[in-house]
Amino acid sequence: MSTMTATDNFAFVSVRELGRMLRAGETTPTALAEYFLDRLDTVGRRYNAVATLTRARALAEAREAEREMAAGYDRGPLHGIPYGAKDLLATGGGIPTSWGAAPLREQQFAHDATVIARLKAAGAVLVAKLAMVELAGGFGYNQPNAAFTGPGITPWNADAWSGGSSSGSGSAVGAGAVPFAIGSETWGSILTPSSYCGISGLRPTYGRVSRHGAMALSYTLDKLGPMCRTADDCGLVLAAIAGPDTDDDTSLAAVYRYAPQTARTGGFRLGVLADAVDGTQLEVGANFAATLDALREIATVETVTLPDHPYAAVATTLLNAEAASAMDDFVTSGKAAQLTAPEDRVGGYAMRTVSGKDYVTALRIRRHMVRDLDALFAQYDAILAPTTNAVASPLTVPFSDYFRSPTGRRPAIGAAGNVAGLPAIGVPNGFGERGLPTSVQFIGRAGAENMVIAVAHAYQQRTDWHTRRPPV
Amino acid sequence: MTESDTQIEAALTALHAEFGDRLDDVGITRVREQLTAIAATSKTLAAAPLANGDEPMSVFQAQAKG
Repeated sequence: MSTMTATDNFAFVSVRELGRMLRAGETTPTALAEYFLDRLDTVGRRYNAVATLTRARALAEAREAEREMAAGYDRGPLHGIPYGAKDLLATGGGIPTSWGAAPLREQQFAHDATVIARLKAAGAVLVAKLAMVELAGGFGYNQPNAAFTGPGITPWNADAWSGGSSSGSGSAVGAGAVPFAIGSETWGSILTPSSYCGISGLRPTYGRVSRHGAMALSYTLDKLGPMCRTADDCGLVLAAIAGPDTDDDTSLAAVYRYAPQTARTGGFRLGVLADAVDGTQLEVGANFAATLDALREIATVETVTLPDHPYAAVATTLLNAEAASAMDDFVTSGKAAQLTAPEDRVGGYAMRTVSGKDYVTALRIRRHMVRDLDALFAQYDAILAPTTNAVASPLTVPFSDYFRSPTGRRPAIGAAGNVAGLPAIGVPNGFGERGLPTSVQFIGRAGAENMVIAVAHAYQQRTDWHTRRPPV
Repeated sequence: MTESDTQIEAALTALHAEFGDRLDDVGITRVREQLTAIAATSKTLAAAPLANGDEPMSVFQAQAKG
């Protein structure tokens, strides 16, 4: 039996397939770690995806996985699999955690975030802390150059943005520089880079994954989730990181188990927003229509409308008020002046003026939103919409010019889904202008990750968009 | 000036008193734009139909069923 070496091509292999290869003796954890460390150092850096390579830790974890697997001890589907973590997740052992911000690039923590600790317990191998938009984009950046690592670049077009704020998580997975990554989403930060980089990204239910040890931007909106090649891989990773955590009061008590499904008796029942393609680019709309055609082979599709609520106003108010408190020390210290994006250097001031009245009003409206959205989503396995209204913007163009408004890149369902803490998965569904990927998202009822993964997986069984490779 | 404009200028004055040494003309313009957006958002929130008994979701939990 031959063993692959570090020169073999593992770049675009799924987590599930890498696991099979490891157990078949076709490669080893150490070979995979060395391969992806080298690929991050070359290809990953080309897209500004890397904050810190964690070479020493990776090789130690890989050797441990190798010993355990050789001894017959199997920790499950992530055992021996390399991954990268968004650089807002604390890592002990002297590895910096920069939050993407130049003045914090030497910041260190004593312990691993819960997510990092759980992945270690699952036998996964941390190969890199991945670049991100400074402070997870909470200060209102309006163009891609908003991190000390430089603008995130999609592997599909060297002149286009990766999306943010999980920029390195998106481009590293998209470029085949890691098999999977962990990202975070407050309002679009997993789904947007997943869309722009042509990968599958899962925003879990609020509270499904502990945020202990993660940078807080918005206490009631922040979520952590997997960014992978396939919907199936998202389920494998989520199973390793989900679950209650006494260090995070908001973590859900329910235990999550990934239950792969490819079909449902009688087919899936899907909803599609009546205004789903309003304001989208031509190709985004056309690809969404083709996606619906493909899904009608395995599902009924009904037109739905969202309950009438001011979703964006509530999301904005919660985000501004909570970020103003979370980042108070950073702003008052004057460190914001050292941020990369000029607009971020002054972006932490106005949010401090959101009134207590407006914050409480937003929380009161939120209760109605959560109730009404749950009533709608209870009728469907998932509701569909384009993940983003447009493909990635050019690196040199402000978002407000390309997307026509600061929030134009984000469909309205994004605010609703994040305010209500609903799970959503975005997967590639074609290509648009400048050869850039488009994406469709499946949003589900709170707690229904397995269902949205099942719909996305069934779609990927019938299409090959997720297998396309960028010209890396 | 409208009431909203007055509130925006008052907020800007307060921020300038605390952080004025960090704000040049471009920065002040940017902050004023953000304050204007916050004022518009405040009006949107105020227009939502809420009754006195509509309590805030102050301890937020997603309604997970499984």
